[in-house]
Order: sequence, then C-alpha cells, then structure tokens
Amino acid sequence: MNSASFIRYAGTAVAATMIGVACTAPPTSVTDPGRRTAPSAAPTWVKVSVDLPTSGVEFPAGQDADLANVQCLICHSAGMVLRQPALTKEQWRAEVIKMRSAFGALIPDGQVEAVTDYLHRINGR
Amino acid sequence: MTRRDPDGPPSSRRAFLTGAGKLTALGLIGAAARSVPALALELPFANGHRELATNFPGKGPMILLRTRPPLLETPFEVFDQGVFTPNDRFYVRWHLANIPTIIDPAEFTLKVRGHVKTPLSINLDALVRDFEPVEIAAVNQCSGNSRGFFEPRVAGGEWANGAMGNALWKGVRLKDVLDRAGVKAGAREVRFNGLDTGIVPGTPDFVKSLGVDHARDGEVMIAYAMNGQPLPLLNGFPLRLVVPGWYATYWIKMLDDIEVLETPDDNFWMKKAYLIPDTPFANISPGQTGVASVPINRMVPRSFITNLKAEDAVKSGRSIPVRGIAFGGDAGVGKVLLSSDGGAAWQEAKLGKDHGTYSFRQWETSIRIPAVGPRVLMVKAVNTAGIAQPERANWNGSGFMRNVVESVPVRAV
Ligand code: HEC
Repeated sequence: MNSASFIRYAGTAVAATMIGVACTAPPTSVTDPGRRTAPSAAPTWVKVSVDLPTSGVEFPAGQDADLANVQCLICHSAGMVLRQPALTKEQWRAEVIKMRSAFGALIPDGQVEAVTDYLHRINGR
Repeated sequence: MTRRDPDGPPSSRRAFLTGAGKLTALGLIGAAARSVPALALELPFANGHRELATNFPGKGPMILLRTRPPLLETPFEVFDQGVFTPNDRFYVRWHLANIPTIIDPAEFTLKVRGHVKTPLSINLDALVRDFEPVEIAAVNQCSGNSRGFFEPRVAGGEWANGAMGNALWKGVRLKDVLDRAGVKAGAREVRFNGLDTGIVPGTPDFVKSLGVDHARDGEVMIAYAMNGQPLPLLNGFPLRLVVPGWYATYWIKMLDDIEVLETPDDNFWMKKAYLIPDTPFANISPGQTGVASVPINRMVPRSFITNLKAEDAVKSGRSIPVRGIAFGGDAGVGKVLLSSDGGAAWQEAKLGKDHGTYSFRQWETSIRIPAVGPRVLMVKAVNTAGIAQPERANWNGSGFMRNVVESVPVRAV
C-alpha cells in the first residue's frame, strides 16, 4: 500500500455530491509535513452578506409552557433545551438558575420553580 | 418528550427516515433530496433525533443541533471522504446569538491594544500584505465533541463525534502581529474577542485568553483562509484564531480584537466556563469532588473508523479493508492500532500521508474475521509523545475531552 491508495478513497464521497451541494475539493497542495511559509497568493476580499435561518419552534404544550416560551427563547432557540438528555429536577433547576446568574436572564424568582417543574415534566428523570 | 423535530429548519415538507441513526439514510439522500428539503437521523444516544439542515449559508447538509445561535455537526461519513474537511461540511459552533450577518472587508479592522508599545488597527489588506503568510494543517475540535456519548449523560451541546474538522489554515503568525505592536515587559496573557455578542447586556461577551508565551510561540496564527478559500461566515469570516493542538474554544471566530493583559484574565469564559478537572484526560468519577480545575487546554489523541459503522454486515473469511482517521491531539500520530476481536489482539495500521503534527492522519489496514457472528472492531491511536487513548471512557461533569478507544460492533456474515 502506498499513499495513492489513501487518495483513492477521497473519491468514495457520496452524500454531499449526490445531494447536489458543491463540495470544496480538499486541498492537495500540502506536500511538506508541518507548518511552512505559504506561497502568497493574496486573497480577494468580497463583502459577505448572509441570512441565518430562524427557528419557529416553541416548547411542547402543557402547563407553564408559556413561561418557557417567554423566558427560554431569548438568547437561544428551543433546540438548546429540547435536545438535552433527561435531567433530574435539581439539574433543571440548576440550569434555570445558571441562565440567570451566569448569562443575565431576567427570570423572576417566582417563576423559577414553575419553569423547572415544566422542564422536568417534558424531559425529566 | 413528544415533539419529534424540535428546532428544525422552517421547512414545509419533511421526510423522516427511521433507523437513519446508522447514518445509512445518507446513502438514500441522492434519491430523496431532490424532492424534500430536510431529512432526519437518530444519533445513537437518548434524545438523539436530529434533522439534517440544508439552509445555513455556506453549508451543505449538516446535523442540526441548534438553530440560533447555530450548532451544526458534520455528518460522520464526511470524514471518510478525505483528510481535509470541506468548508461546506465543517461543523459550526457559536455561543452568542448576536452574530453579524454582513461583513464588509473594506471596513473590517483588527485591533491590537493593551500592554503594548504601539496599539495597532490593521485592515485586511495590510494584514495580508505586511506579514509573512504561513500555512498549517490543523484539527479544530469542540471541547464537548462526543458529549452525547457521556454516561451518565451531562447537559450541554449534545454532539455525536462530528464536532471536529481538519483544515489547511492560511494566515499570519500571531507572534508577528504582537511583535509589530511591541508587547511590553510584564505582559501575562493575551485576550481575543470576536464580533459576536450576547442578546442581553448581562451575558458575558465570549472572549478567551492564552498565556503570553503560548501566544508568541510562532504556531498560533490568525487565519484568513481555510482550505484555500475565505472562511465561511459561520466558521469565522474574515479572521479566525488558530491554536494548533488546543481545543476550539480558543479559536476565536470573526477575530477583531487582541488585548495584551498585565494580569491573568478573570472573565467568565476563562474562570467559570470551560474548566476541566486537572487529571489525566480530565477524567473523574461521577460525583467525585475536591479535584482542582484548570481551563481546558491541549487536545488528546483520538481515532475513528470511517468506512464501517455500527451494525454493518461484513463478509467472514475474507479480507476486509478498514480505514479511518486519527489525530494526536497536541502531538503527531505515532501509531494506530486496530482490533477485530473486542480488544484482545491489536494490529498496527498503515498511516497515510503526514500533513503535519496537528492534522488528521488517514490510516488503513485489513482484517479477516474467521467465522460468522458479532464482532467488535476497536481503534486506538498512540501519539508521538506516547500517549494512548484510554480503553475506558473518560468522564467529567461538563462533557469535555472524550477520547476513549472507539468501538464499532459489526456482524460477520
Ligand atoms: C440571557 C440569555 C439566556 C436566557 C434567557 C436563557 N439562556 Fe440558556 N443559555 C444561554 C447561554 C449563553 C448558553 C450557553 C450557550 C452555548 O454554550 O452555546 C445557554 C445554554 C443553555 C443550556 C445548555 C447547558 C448549559 O448549561 O450550557 C440549557 C439546557 C439552557 N441554556 C436552558 C435554558 C432554559 C431552560 C432557559 C429558560 C429558563 C434559558 N436557557 C434561558 C443564555 C440564556
């Protein structure tokens, strides 16, 4: 086996090309191991303007879902919360409190338990 | 939880392929993608249902972990396609949702300030023109890559193994830029900030620091190109710090501010977040207390099989090619060992081309499984410093630095 056989499987790509998304070809220009001085082809700078997708996802319906929708979608979309593993009530409470103390969330004292209970109901252990 | 597609892209029609967790669904994408905007898969841990998003700028199909701010994972089969991860499949990880969506290179400046003789404000043309260009191939890996596999589970970004990528970075040495400003005697750390900010004033801005000697080691660089192209906006256009061998939390995106500090940085993201237990592989037992913690730092070795996945059927009594990638962490790849019998016997794989200490390295070998039945393939890297991946999973409460020997159960038929 030689290095050519390693290059071959760069051609086994399926998903990206089949889906019709242009895949940037992996560069083949590095011939020397390690870092080195690069040939200086200056980059051309082009103004970049993009749209980032938004998420319309809300919390699953249920008692106090509205509190979560108000308090927990300000800084991140619901995926941050809904994709967590099942947590204990103590762990969910710690997350809610962390959002206040570490990240500046303005969750009133009186809502901490209700939000905690809600999160534990939808994904608790 | 009842909801099947939390946080999915706002698409009108969706196709869910059940059992796609084996990522076999991706083989069907060519047929399905023309007619449906999104597919889904199951990552192999609880609550691992994910959509495959195709609507992020500069990105092909990516595993959607969070829409805002984006957390996008590289589908694992991409790592079988080459030693460099294409820009449009490179994973994406932001902390704070206020991310500029318009960047005019003509207006952009990089500031160097603080404990320096001459504060600088460098525009992009000057950065490229006035400093020697350098290139380095280096792995960028999220501190929490593979967090979803932690057992017991921990809260955080629930990634499988795709929060990593390897690119050829081109830019200028941080050292050269700091030397131009003239670091004054007594400097302790260098702090890096990018254009992203939080949504509310109370959220600490995402900034990270390196010791001044590390910052001046000649390896840390300010990259303006990734695999020969400008960085995708989601990977930090126009400038990103590259910290070879260190976790990606230090690789500040949209880097526009460098501050030389006389005192150790006590900001939230250095002092409260991204801390690890100061033990080998950051490993502790669940519930263990009284362990000193330090900011996460150097990466540890990892290796993966990329051409076979869990539950694949392989032919018994025949030579089966097995291949994959490895990286040494903060050192090169010394060797890669493969076992086809659950770790009893190990054979050394052939290593592919060496793209440098900090790069992925491809490896390949072949195995022969004598009889039909289940088998566990295992792969282990040993780096050039002699550090081997642990055979039992390392664990800590933040889900950082997983690097256990990977196991892939297959069926010989
Ligand atoms: C003021 C902003 C803000 C608000 C409001 C907020 N969060 Fe967060 N949250 C954050 C930030 C910042 C992170 C870290 C993001 C990252 O690492 O990408 C985070 C992360 C998380 C995580 C991941 C685990 C962790 O600790 O990092 C969970 C779970 C979470 N938030 C739950 C919630 C819940 C539940 C609410 C509502 C009670 C909420 N958040 C409201 C800012 C906020």
